[in-house]
Amino acid sequence: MSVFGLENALWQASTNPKSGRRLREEGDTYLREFRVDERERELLLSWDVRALVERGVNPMVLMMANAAINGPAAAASYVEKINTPTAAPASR
Amino acid sequence: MAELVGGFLMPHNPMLTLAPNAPSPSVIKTMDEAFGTIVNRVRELEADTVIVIGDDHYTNFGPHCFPAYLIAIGDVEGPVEPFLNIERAPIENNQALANHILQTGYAEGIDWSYAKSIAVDHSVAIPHHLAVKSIPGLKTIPVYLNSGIEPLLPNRRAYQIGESIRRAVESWSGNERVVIYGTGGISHWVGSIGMGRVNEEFDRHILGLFERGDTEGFIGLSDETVLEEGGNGCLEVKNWICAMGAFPGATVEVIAYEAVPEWITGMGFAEVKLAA
Repeated sequence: MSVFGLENALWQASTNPKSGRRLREEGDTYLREFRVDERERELLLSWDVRALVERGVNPMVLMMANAAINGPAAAASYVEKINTPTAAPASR
Repeated sequence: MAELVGGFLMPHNPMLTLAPNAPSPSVIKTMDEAFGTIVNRVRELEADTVIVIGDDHYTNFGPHCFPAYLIAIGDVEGPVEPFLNIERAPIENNQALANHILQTGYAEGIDWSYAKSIAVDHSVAIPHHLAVKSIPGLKTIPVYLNSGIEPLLPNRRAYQIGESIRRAVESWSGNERVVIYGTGGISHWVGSIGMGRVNEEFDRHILGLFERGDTEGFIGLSDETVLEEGGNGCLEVKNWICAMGAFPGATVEVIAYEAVPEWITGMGFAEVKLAA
């Protein structure tokens, strides 16, 4: 588990348009450049925001990156996703 | 000699300009009147400089560096977020006084980070847009506390920074009349589990601590309690605590409070009542 790696990947993607485009278009390759494990890559590529926050990812950078990468519609659905419990809470 | 002539607590919610018409007309009126009250009071106080205490939202600062507390000593512009519906423009700083605040801090163990050039986020830009811009000649000194990203700035340190700001203003050779804005809060969940919730009861508890001038009460608010009852956005109470540090023994008078679910935030406004 690397919260630091996840937050770094998200922050770069939300503040640098080139990194954002890479996360959107070639996410798996982009994420392999950060200290992010297999499960974390899956969660981020599927934008499972609830599970990511439960793993300790800062919600502000996650919400900001979600809006930057996935657009206004995803921003609107973020509230529903973050408030929907996961089947089994992830361990941190 | 320069003088601290007033202090105010207010929200910096980006929804104020992002979705200004989302709440009911009566709530919008209350918000407009609250900002109007602050602007009128600042005019009455004949202030020429405002120190705006905000916090970054993982916008200007990232995993490579989070300043615990920072003062802008140079060029300022903003907002950095294009979605606020505020045109990005230069913001006039009081660089000489900002530098003096930094140097005063250094001399007494407040080791400021500083920005020589910064594009401020909504935590400074919204107060500037709604409670500074309309007052000709009012200069803005942005201060950023790490009130949102763990590991967090301790409340007591936030208060001590406010105390240092007071000593700096009072030891400044200029004749500025300075007001301080503590911004943010009250309850809101920013991207976190619970987003959308507003806890009016907890908001009123916090307002009560400030109304009573219960310094140890508001410094003693644990981060865990604030997170649980007010959400991660409520940690911005640290910005309010910093502002209160500049006014020892002061109480506050609430100007307005509304729980605004449309803006997912408890919106609180108050004026610092200086101790006799």
